[in-house]
Amino acid sequence: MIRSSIRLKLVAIVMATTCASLCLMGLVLGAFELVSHRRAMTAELAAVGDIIGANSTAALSFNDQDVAKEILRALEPQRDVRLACLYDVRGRLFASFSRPSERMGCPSSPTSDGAAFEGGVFVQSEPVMLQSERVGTLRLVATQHTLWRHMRLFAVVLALTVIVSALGALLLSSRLQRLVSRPILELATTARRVTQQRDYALRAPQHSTDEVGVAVGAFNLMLDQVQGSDLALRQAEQKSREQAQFLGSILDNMGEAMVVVDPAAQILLWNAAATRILGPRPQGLPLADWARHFKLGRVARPGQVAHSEPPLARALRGEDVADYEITIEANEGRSECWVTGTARPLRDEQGKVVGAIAVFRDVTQQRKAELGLKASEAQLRQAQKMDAVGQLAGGIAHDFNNLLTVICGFSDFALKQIPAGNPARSDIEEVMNAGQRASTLTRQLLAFSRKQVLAPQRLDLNAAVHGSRQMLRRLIGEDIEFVAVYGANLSPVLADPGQIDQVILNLVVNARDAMPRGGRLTVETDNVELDEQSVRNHPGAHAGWHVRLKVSDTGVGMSEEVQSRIFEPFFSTKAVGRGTGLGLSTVYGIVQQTGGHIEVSSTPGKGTTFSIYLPAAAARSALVAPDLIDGLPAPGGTETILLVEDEAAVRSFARRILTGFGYEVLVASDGVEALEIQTRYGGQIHLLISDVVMPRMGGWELARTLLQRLPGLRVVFFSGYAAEMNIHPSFPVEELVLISKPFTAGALARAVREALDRCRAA
Amino acid sequence: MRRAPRVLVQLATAVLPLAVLADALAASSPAPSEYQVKAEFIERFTRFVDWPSSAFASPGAAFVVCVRGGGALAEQLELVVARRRIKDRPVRVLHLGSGDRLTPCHLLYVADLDHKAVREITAITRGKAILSVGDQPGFAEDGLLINLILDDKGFVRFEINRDEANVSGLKISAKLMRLARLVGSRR
Repeated sequence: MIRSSIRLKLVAIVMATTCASLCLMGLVLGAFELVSHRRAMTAELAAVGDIIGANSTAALSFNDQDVAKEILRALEPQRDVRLACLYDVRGRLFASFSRPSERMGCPSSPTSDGAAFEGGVFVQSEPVMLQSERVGTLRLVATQHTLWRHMRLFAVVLALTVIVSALGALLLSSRLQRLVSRPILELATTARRVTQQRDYALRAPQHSTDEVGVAVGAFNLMLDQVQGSDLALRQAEQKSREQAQFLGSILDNMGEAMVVVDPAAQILLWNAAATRILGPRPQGLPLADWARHFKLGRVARPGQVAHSEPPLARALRGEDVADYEITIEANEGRSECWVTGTARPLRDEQGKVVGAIAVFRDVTQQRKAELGLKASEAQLRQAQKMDAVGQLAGGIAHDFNNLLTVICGFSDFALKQIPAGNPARSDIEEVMNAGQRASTLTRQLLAFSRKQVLAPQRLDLNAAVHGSRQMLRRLIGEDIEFVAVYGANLSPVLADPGQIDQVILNLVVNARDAMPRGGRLTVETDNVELDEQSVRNHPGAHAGWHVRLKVSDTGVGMSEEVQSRIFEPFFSTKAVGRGTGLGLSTVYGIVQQTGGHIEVSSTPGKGTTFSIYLPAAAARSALVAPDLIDGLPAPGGTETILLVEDEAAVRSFARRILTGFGYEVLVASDGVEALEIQTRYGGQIHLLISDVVMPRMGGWELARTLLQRLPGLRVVFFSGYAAEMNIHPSFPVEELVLISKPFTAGALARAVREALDRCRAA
Repeated sequence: MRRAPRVLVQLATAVLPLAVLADALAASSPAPSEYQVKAEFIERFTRFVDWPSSAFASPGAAFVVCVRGGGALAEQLELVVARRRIKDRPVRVLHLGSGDRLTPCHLLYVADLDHKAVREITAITRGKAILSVGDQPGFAEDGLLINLILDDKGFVRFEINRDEANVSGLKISAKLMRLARLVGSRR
């Protein structure tokens, strides 16, 4: 449409001009034709009148009306003449001629001489002269029918001529307009393509040297210049882009964060380090809201005043803020940062502030390291203290347990010998009660120092979860939904119920802390069968049926890095003072000690799931702890038992019990003596009962030596605390029965019987 | 005498048409006489007839009107032509006797002569540039070029002898010929 407009315009101009000219010409011709035709008509009529008049002179002169009429009839072929009236010299009507259709008659007297158009007809009145004498008047009335017929024909011919001429002009102009329009259209096309494609290498074709050709040449010349400028501009742009990229890359690779704002606090620069520290560039955040947005904390270097205003805001007010240090919560409150840096106003030549720049870096690691160093020093001290307490407690417990074994044991013997009703009996019962309370205290001490002996039981995890449900609900608060999913037909596991409770507790507390804004906490149990593939990554785990305990939260989740470190002692993501960093270490230790393993899966922002796999109880032979069968009837026997105990009171207590149950008992005060006795004794020794820690030769070495000499020997160890009870790797667990001090007579007897019977079963 | 009442009757019936012409000729006389009309006719004949220039001695030579015989019309004619110019020339009137030469005449009015005398005259005028006019019945057949008559309605009409006109030295207008009753010479 745009393309053809100039063509249309040219054609329209030519056509308008042509049509106007043709119409004007037609009008002029028409008018001229009309006028000349009228003139011809009047001339013709005048001539006709003259002839008729001349012919009539004789008739008039000689008063011959018949001849006059005859003469007037000569007007018959003159079709335009409607009426002819001949008057004599006295003005009387002499003769007349009229067409049959003519209604108008001759006036009775002639009108004045002359010719005129009256109401569409031509009226001519002329004198009839005979030589110089007037002999009458001839009046002719003629219509203009012939004139109009002629004019109509003329008009038709003229119109046809105009139309044909206009068509010819249209044809010609639509052909010839290209002479003008083509170079202009090509110029326009080139100009449009140049503007649309920005291709300044295009040129408009130049066909002529006329004004358009000159314009095309000038346009092409202009394009040359534009192309040159464009190239230079592009090169400059490329250069400046590279420079900007270079500078940007420098800025983004700077260790220090850099933020530049204009006076309206619009951010002009926010480099990669700034994004790392503060998070993504906040869009359209007023400077006044920065303190709130980043939860600006007030930390000041020693000797500086703490400000609640962001350093950039102070710099915008013209202040040089050197060496500030603040805490912020960046990355949408996910982490707290220590930031240190400087902020300065940017000034123009007049010294007016046109912006501000802040250069800062994240010193969280240093600060945390400093704080963490202090914390870990404290934790180390705590650990050392705990270890010392543990050592002390262990040592005390060892001795105490020996003493308490004797006290309680002999009190028991005494009671059995004193008849009822004897006043001494109640005294001894008091002694025994005190001994049992002391025993409880010893256990608590050992628990505190994590040196307690595991007391594994067949345990239903569903029951364990169900039992601690109320306590857990209170612990996690109302914002978090607690869901427990109990697996059907759950296999029992061998585990210490107290430890399992602690595992559940620690995991639940951890999950709660991961959901500061609430969420859902799910504790789930089920049976799973692990194949070789799935246990490969867990040393110590075996394929087979396991019971799984899953604790899931919908909290913040953990990064891979954090996941790899969570079980390290003292590693914590919680704020200082909110966690010990020991919770998951303890869980790990307990699960490992119980023969299971842990898997963690976590997605940042979605949540975390801890899965604890404990072997199903049937999958492994259990240590049968004496406590488990406490209270059952104590069977006796006649086998020979070698009793080794360095503490004389315990030794004599145990010997008395065992002989009391019918056994043959050999006693020794340590391993060396025991070996001597075994050498001297010729009979079969069925069972070794030994303390673990003894002078000269300990229980483990003794047992190994004796087992070499006496295959099939059964062994029972007793000990005061767990460190002594760590099963020596060279011992098959099936050979051993462990019994913790202090023990009762019944417990000892049942342990001995158990050990002997297992031997027999094997 | 027989003729007089007939003329009177004719005159009476011609009063109306004659009056038309007479008004133009003499405003003073209300009813133009037959002679006045005839005199006027004769004068008008000269307007439709051309004489060869050889008929005149000089460009300024007078137009000679000859009258042979007498009577009312002769007098009237003399009255009519005496005060006019004919063919743009002064008019001279000649009254001719029976022996007078006809040669100088341009217009010859023959009054009341007998047919024989008329034929004598026409034998002389034949082929000459002399317009001979009469007003007696049969004069045209006797060889006069033009003879004035009255038609049956009493209107003055005229006859032209076609034969004489053809051989005449005059050029008689076709318009005049058209109005006339054409006759041939009596043999």
